[in-house]
Amino acid sequence: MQLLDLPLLVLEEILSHVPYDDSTTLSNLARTSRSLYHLSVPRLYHTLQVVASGGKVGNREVLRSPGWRWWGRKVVVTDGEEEGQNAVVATEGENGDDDDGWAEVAEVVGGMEVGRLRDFKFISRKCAPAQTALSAALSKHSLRTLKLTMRPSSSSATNTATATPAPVPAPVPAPVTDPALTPAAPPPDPILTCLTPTQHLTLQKLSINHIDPDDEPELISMYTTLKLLPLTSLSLKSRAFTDLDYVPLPELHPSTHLRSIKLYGFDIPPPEYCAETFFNPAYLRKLVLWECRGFDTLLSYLSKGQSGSGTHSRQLEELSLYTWEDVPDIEGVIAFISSCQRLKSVLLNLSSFTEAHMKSLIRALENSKGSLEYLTVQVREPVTTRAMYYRPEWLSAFKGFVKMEWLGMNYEMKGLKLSNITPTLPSCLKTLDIRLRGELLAKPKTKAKVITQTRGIGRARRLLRDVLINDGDYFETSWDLKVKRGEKVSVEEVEQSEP
Amino acid sequence: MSEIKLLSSDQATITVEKSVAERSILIKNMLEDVGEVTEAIPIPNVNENVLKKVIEWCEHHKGDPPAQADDDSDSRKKSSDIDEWDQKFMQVDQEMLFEIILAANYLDIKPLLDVGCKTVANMIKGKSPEEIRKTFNIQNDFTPEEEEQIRRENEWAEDR
Repeated sequence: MQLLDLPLLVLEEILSHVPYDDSTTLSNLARTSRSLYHLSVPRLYHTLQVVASGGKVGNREVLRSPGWRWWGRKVVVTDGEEEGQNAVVATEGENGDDDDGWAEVAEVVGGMEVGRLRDFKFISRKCAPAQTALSAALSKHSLRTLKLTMRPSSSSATNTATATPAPVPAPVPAPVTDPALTPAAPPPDPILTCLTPTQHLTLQKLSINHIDPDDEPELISMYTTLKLLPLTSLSLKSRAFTDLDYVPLPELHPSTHLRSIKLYGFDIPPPEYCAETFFNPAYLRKLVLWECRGFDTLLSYLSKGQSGSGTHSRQLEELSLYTWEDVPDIEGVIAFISSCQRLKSVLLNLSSFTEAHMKSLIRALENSKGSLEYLTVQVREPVTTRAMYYRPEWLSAFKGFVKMEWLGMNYEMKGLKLSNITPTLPSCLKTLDIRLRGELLAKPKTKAKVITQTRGIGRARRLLRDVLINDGDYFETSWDLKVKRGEKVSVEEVEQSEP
Repeated sequence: MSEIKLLSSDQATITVEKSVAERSILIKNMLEDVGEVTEAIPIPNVNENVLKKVIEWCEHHKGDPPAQADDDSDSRKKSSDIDEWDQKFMQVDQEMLFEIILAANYLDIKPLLDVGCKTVANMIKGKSPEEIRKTFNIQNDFTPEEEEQIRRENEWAEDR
């Protein structure tokens, strides 16, 4: 029995453990023999990584291989720029001579086999999408996922508008025309002019980052586009979501397709209006609301259901709520969590909590104890926003959470006694994120004690692999511990790489 | 504690705890379909040595939670981490390693198949084409011209 005697499906399974971005290994495999060539090349050319550096394509040599034509399924433009470089350069470079390489990217993308390209992600934070490349991707009419970053500043809009578009190898969709735009207004972002709904009925997941809350024409144009796309997943992130410069929520049809919504920095309208114009909560699986004003009123409304039966949120599996602002209706948020019974993943990072709220939150989560796999809770006092800590005895219900693999909590303890946590931990826990008071972690020799005590937790919970110790007050101390299981259980600190 | 018997391809009968054998979805489904069995269940594709090895793995992992139905995600694939016990378990000759993988595939023991495939993937990573050929006894069936063309086309991928 040799490697090549294994059935094709098993060989493919082995290759699935070589990541798409390990191109060296995949390339070496392709050069080994004919059969391994045919297995590894589709994986090698699965994802075209374009590095935007100073507004230019930084890795043009990658584009020259013919493999992308046959096997390319995903294009990702990442940011290779150094801090401080101006994003405007990126849009200025969109001229016919292709000094910046974007037309070359567009040519490669445009040349990909019809029907293969599924994902296009422009995740550069300092560089607006090269319109030619985006148009080429959209012209394939096969995209399922599109992730884009809006242009970096409104001043760059003028630059984009005056630049001559580069020739595109594939047909460019007709731009969206919006009557709300006056001739004097700056044109909408090139992203939006490419996204004509009638031509992109395959699109399922759309993510737009860096939305400018002050650019009304752009918002109108974007919402006009969004309204007609049959999306299953929508993520909208305001440029200024931490500055509380809220973006008004778009008016969409409450689609039964829309399963996942992520909003960052939005102003949530009255809930009745929201449910009628934006999404159909009965079909939602994932809801992420970060720094969104009025989210508590919406959740409180959803917990009651249209007829007061609480049926709105029954299907929800993933909930992520984050804000440092006071939350007027925190009881409504907890009631919403209580009304959900199939939650798999919950992240809560909220203010306005009291001890009574902390305890009622745990009771609310118990309704999902048969499904919850991931839980991280970080709550703060009202007004002062000081971190609050759970006493281990309040958390005894967690040991009955049969699927919980990740748990992250602020734990209250007088002295360092991690063993107090152990009885509350579910048996299938793999990762434990323990947050303790800053002054407790600042005491001398604490790390050695933590490592010793973590070994005890590791012995009691045999699936536990990772323990993260953090300071819940000042976020200054952070130890990443690995539980090793040989003859005996041991704990080692993992060196943290520089951000 | 209920036990069942398994009959290997070379006609060896192995008695095993039912809960251990049920790590195999094939056996679990079979037992659900037929109910109580007193006779040995034939496992025609797996010989005694390999079956014993597979049972050893199942015994060690009998307390593990069952794999999730949607556990086929990329995040699972990305991890090349293998538990220390599993690493030692997989320190066998290649012939046995491939037999375990085949048995895990046949018996439908997804976590064991994963560990086996990850082990082979880790043996491939970081090796040159020549080293891969040598490790797995693979014949180079390219002409020199073909090899040169592939090298040129994939030049961008080298040493990144």
